[in-house]
Amino acid sequence: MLQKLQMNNIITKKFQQELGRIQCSNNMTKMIHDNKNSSDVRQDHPFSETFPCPQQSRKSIICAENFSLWYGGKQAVNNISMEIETGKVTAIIGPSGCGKSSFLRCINRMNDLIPNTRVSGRLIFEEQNVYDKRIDLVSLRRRIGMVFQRPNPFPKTIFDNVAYGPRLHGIRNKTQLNEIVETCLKSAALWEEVKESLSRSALALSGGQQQRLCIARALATQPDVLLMDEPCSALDPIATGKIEELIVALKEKYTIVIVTHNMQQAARISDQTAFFCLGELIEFAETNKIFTVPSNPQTEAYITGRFG
Amino acid sequence: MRGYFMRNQFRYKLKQIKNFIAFQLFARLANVVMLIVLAVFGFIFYRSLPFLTHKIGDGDGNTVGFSQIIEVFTSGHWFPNADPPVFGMLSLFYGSFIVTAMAMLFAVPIGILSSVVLSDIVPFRVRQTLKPFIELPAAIPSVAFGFFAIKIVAPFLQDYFGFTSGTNVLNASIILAIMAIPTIVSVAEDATSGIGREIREASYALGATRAETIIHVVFPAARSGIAAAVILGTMRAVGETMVVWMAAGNAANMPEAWYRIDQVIIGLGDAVRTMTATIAGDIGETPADSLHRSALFAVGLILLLFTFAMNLLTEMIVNRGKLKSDQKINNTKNADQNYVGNKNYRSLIICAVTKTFRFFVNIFLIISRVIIFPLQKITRFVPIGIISYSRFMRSLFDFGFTLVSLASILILFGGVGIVMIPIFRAGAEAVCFQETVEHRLFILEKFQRGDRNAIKQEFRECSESRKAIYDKLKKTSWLAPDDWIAKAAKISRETNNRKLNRAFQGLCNAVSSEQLNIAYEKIKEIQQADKDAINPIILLADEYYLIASHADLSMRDKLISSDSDLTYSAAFKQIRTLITGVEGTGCILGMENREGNAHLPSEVRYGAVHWSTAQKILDQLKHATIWKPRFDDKLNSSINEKVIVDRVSFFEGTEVAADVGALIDELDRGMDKMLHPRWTFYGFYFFDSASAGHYLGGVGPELLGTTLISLLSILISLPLGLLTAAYLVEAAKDTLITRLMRLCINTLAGVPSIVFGLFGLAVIVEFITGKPSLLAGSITLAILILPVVIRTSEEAIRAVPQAYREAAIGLGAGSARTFITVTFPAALPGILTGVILGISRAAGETAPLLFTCAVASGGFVAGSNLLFQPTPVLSYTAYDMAVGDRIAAMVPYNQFGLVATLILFVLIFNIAAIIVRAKITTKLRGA
Repeated sequence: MLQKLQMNNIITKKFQQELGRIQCSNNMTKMIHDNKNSSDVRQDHPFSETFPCPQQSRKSIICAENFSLWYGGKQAVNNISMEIETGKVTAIIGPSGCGKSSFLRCINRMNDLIPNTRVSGRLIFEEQNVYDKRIDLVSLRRRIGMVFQRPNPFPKTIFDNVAYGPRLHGIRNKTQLNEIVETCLKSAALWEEVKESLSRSALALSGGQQQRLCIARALATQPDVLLMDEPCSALDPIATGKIEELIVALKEKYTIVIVTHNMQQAARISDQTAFFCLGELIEFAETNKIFTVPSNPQTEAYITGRFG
Repeated sequence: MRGYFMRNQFRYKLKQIKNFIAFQLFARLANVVMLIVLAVFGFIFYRSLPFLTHKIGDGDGNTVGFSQIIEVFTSGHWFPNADPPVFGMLSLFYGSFIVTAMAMLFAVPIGILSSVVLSDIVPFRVRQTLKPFIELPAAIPSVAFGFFAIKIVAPFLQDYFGFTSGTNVLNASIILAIMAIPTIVSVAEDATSGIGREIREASYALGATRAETIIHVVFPAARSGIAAAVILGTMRAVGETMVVWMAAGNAANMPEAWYRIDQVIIGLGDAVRTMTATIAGDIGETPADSLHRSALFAVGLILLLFTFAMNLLTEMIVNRGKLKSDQKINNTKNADQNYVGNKNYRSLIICAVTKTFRFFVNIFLIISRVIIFPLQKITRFVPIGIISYSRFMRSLFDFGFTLVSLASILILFGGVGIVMIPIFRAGAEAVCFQETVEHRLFILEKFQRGDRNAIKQEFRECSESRKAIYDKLKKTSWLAPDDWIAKAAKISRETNNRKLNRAFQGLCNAVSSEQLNIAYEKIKEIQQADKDAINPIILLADEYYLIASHADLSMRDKLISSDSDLTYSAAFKQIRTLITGVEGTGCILGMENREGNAHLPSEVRYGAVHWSTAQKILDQLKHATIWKPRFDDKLNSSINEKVIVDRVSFFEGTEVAADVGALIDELDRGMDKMLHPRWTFYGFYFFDSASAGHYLGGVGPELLGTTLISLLSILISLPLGLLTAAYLVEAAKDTLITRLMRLCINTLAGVPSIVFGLFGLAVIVEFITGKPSLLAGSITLAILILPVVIRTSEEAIRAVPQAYREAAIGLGAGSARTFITVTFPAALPGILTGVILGISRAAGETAPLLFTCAVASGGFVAGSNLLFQPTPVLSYTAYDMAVGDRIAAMVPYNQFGLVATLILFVLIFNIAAIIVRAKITTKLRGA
């Protein structure tokens, strides 16, 4: 126990150092933004409409309005309306099969890869409907990064994994790429562990390292939002701890939406929590409130372990 | 109590012994597979030894001292029949190489793009439906492709691309590409699908387009599988015999400057000869113990070693990919060390074997890296260079890539369709066609089917209307009186009157009326001198004199026009041939008087049996094709041009013009009355035997031969294959022996089929049966299909849930009993799939049967020594009809019909296998 605490301390210290360095290399952000020659998600179109979020709030970056999703005939997400605030960590909790992952995957339209999906309602990202026909998926996904349940590094070197996104989006300069890779690996708290072996295969890393590599890879395209689909479910507690710390640190710069089965995790790292059940949004509030004074009896039943 | 216990103890012991015996039996039988592979290697090596150890002579019988092997690799001259023989195999290597390389040039891009269409572009359900249909063409017998190459592609290349010969490198490689694509797609698709969804999602989530995901993520991740697919496709192309034998022109050529790319490209229009085709083509002409035959075995040995090396390479590449993704590299190393260290159990010799094995493994590991490395580099850099930063360019590239991929899968289906459709369209005419009275008559006379009186009556009616034609032919027959001469010769043979015959010949050969009169006088003199009863020749002479005395006999040898070399006699002969026929060509009406002429070949005896053939010949009769010389200004020399002219125009301005014109006209108008065409379904096509050269009749003996040989070979290989599979799944541990066994099975699966033919010849024919026979062919094919049976059975047995076995063992059953009563029944449908696939594979093979079983023509095999007779089979007869005699070329519907029957036979079994497999899958899913 003691050992673990010490380790955590060390890691935190290290991490803070890293953060310091990150601040220094902010020019990298500028570089990437220079390369975003069409920073608008939607391609320019004369009749494009904008959807300001109804309930106001400049603060909200993603906003669902009566959003539903069907897989074939089966409804996975049912009439959800919620706002996700900029710069916050939003956790989505709920029992298995309640549609939380499905909802998350709708935000950057990963569900398009699954045949026979159908949506209704609106899902607004920065005043534009994600499901608008004119949306450019590539730009959308660049701005909404995603980390998956199981670590899924490409069978390439560590460097190539992180550089994959920037390369796609047109960065060819070697020094620029080096800088991006370094910054991102530092942001993902992996730099110290792999800096000697950037040309090793990513598959040789441990599970926790692989997941942090995936986070670094997602950060490398400079997204605004980071979607995390149970990022720790395949990891042991130590690796989970590292990822959680990372998430808290990343909050400064990114809006994070995380799906998790682990309620302690949600309580520890999130600012706001949404409770999903059977495809419906049961309750959405400040994390403190949800875990201390839930307004819905179903929520209470779930978080106290009587249900789900 | 004690007795009971004792008995139990005894029974327990007994059970243990039984299990032990069962296990040992399994193990020994499984080892048979290894023995077979060793035997294949051993015998082929043994038979090629005389060649390998032979020293080149200097022509005077003194050995120079150089080994033959040096010549093999230094000379491009393959003159085995020269004196002294020259066995330079470079041209053969070049032939194999260029044909394969060209085929891969077409097949690899199309195959890989098609595989990503299935795994990444079309929805999963579409993929599930399409996959079996893509694998199906891999089952189509190669002889069918060869047949297509020779009958359709070759004339096409000649006519439209101006090749002097249509059977050349290009033809063979196009066909080989069509054949290799299904193999490549199947294996590559397994690899691209197998890498899973997660890694793709990661790429999409980073904002990659589909093309980028495929190129940067899917290809690198699946590269070992793709490399394996390419190697398998290459092996299929290298090992292919029939197609290259039929389509590549079969001349041992190579460009002098083979290292210059332009020479090679020019050489694509030339004929080459591959290693496999050389074996297939030459072995029939070599005496059993000649140096030439030994040299062919050496070619087989080279093929075998090549296969083995390629197999090892594939294994390395695939395993490397697997190990890497599972991060188990260290584990295997440890396992190996344990294995070497455990000396109590393994002898030192096996250690040494392991080490040697390991050494080769390392070599191939290096080679596989060399192959994979450029793949990696290419996929990493090329497309990123193409895509600029612009979003538009990226979408454009994505769109283009998708389009090209979809186009490639269309090409794949189109290629197979282009091959299959003409074969089936022309082949359908063998069964469903407008038959003429001639066909009915043939069926009646040969098979005694049909209403005798009605058909005779019908034929009499037809003969009535034909009479005018025959009369007109007779009236002008003085132009080419050779049928008169033949008739007289026949009579003279019977009556033994040579003198009269000679005189009659003189009469017929007379070219002026004076000569005619003199010859006629002579005959009369002989008649008077003889005072015999009237000889039939005299009657003939009278008849001929009557016709010829009014004619201008000198016309016979005149040319029909100034710029041709066709005489009037020859021109008339063509007409008569087309109407009444001679040996080796088809005709419309057949001979006039059929009584007593049953011995004649059916193409002379019967007229056109298909109405379409009759019409085709009528068209030839009306319009003749001649080659006219024309002076070409550009080339500054005269070239021959094909011109189609009215045949009547040959006789323009002569006294017979009216007669010939009327003849053709009458035939044109009254042909349906003379032939009585009627739509029919000739279902007996599949059961009837054929007349010589397959001019008439069906494919019964061939179908029977194919059925017998495939059933027999599966009967031989099933027990062996099944037990081997059972051993591999149930009893074998992962030891060197089982690994070697697997290697042997894989090697066996990749060995070119012609090498099996060599093995069958060297071992079974020469040692066991003594001559080509059904049994020898079946044993050869049994070895060939053994890997198919083993693999599918193994898959089926492995798919039986472990819980079944545990339940049975938990109830006290021994491992053998568990297998027999539980595992085997559960795996039966899967094993059945293997059986069906094995049968279809055996049915489609030609090359192994060339020297072990097949004969080109012959009736049904029957009798008590059935197994020791050679038999005609569909595949070999298809080959023979394609390249062989002219009679078969007269009846394309019979040729195509035979090939279509073969394809159908094989496809029916394959589709059955697909259905069985689908049923099993649904059953396993619990639906």
